[in-house]
Amino acid sequence: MISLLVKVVSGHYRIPGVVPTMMLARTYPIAPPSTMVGFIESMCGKEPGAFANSNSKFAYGWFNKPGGRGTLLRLDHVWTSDKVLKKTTDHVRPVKRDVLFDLSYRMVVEGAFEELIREALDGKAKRYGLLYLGESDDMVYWVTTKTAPTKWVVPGNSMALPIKAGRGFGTLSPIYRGFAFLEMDTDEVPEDAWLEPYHEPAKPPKRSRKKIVRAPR
Amino acid sequence: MSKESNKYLGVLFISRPMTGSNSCGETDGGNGSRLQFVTIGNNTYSVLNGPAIRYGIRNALQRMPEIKMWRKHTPDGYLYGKDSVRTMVEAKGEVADEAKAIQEYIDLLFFGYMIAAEGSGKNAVADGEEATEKGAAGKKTPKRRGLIQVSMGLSTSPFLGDTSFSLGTKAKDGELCPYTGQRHFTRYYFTVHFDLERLREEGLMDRLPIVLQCLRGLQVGGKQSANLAEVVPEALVWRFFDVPGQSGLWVSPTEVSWEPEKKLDLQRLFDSAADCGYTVNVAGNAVSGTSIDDGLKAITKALGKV
Repeated sequence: MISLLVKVVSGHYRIPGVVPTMMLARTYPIAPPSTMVGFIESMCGKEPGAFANSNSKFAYGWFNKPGGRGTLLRLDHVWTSDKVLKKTTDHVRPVKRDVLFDLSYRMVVEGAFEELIREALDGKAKRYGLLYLGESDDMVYWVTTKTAPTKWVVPGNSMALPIKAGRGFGTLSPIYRGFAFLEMDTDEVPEDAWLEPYHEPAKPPKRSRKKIVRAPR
Repeated sequence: MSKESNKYLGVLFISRPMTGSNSCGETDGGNGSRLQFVTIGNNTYSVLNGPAIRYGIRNALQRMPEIKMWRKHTPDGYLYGKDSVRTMVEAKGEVADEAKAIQEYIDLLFFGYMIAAEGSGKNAVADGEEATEKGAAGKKTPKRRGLIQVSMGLSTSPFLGDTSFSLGTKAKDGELCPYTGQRHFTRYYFTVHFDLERLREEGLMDRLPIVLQCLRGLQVGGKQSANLAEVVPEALVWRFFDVPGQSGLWVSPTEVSWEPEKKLDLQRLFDSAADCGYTVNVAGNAVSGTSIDDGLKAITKALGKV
């Protein structure tokens, strides 16, 4: 088991949906589990989906609650479909974003990914690019191993977070599950807090249609 | 640590006290522009947006002699309509060969690109098929991740509500029009990370000092601002590191007292570095005997070693 402390300057975890011009693009109250898994895969230089196939599990929560919150304006690409021209066009429009500031996460990982994380913390991971948690603006400025009292994310009814995201724009929505923050800050991981990455259920085999041969009358 | 860290470079930029006018460009219903804010604790702090800082770095790059840029904007004035930006369809031919494109254009090298043109991605044309205006250059969306990451810039002191009142000129008939704009006299700070490992692999380390030179002064402010604020560093703090995202070069404004009326005190940053077991380098006449120029030269010299 390896326990990480991750500090991030800002965080915007967009709740998917259409955001009209100058309206607020809302954020989830905490990074969704799928984002945390993506962060770990990126840190270790692995492809998306590697964590789910590695028999690893994780738990996460706030080491410190966000220090601040604000709405910032940013140009965003908005795709709209034009029914007359019968094509989709890309527009750049200003969108207000709900942004969290000064975030400290604690994340505990158990399983095959532990060794990969240790390698990354020794600077030996073969990876590409700079590290961020969320969007490319959300700079990670400190990662280290630490054990400390944490407000864990556990199954509950106070917020819905996606456990599987990025299934394509306009085709399939993310898969959600209910979560809540554990009231008591604890050092050790509660049993409920362990999460396993979402596995796509195996598709049932296609039924082959047998030709019905009728007996001649 | 047995070997020198050399995979990433982190630079913390702390500006001189300045009047922030990086307005968000949209009014609150009245005829006035406002700053962007974040609420930390019981106070509001004004923000220099990350994309605005990146825009400032691009402008500074474009002002340098003999630098070829992909963007069409001029740093001294905006172009409108078709002249303002190159379309993605125009782009696809030139960035089809990534190695050639980054060799030629410094902004594509550091800031990356993505051709999100119609027909790219899963609907892209097949390999070998000729790319048309509707189709993209290949099966995959041509994209490149940037080698530079800029955090949000935050003010070091809370905003107390200073507002200026001016008379501007209406563009249409030349009449004077009164308007207000929020102004914040403060220091700003932000962090920049560079991916040296990738830059070294691509054999273009000689381009990094050019970008570092941009940190001597940035114009971060929209054209709609009353004045374009010149963001000049009072101090630069930097560090080379190997673990991704482990620069340690950021601190909450509530933890430090970098108010504009006080002398800049970096002791909190040094203490935090000492606690975590690393050292940081500092440049800036106000905080160390080194000037900003000498500091940038020291980074370039260290880059020669690493």
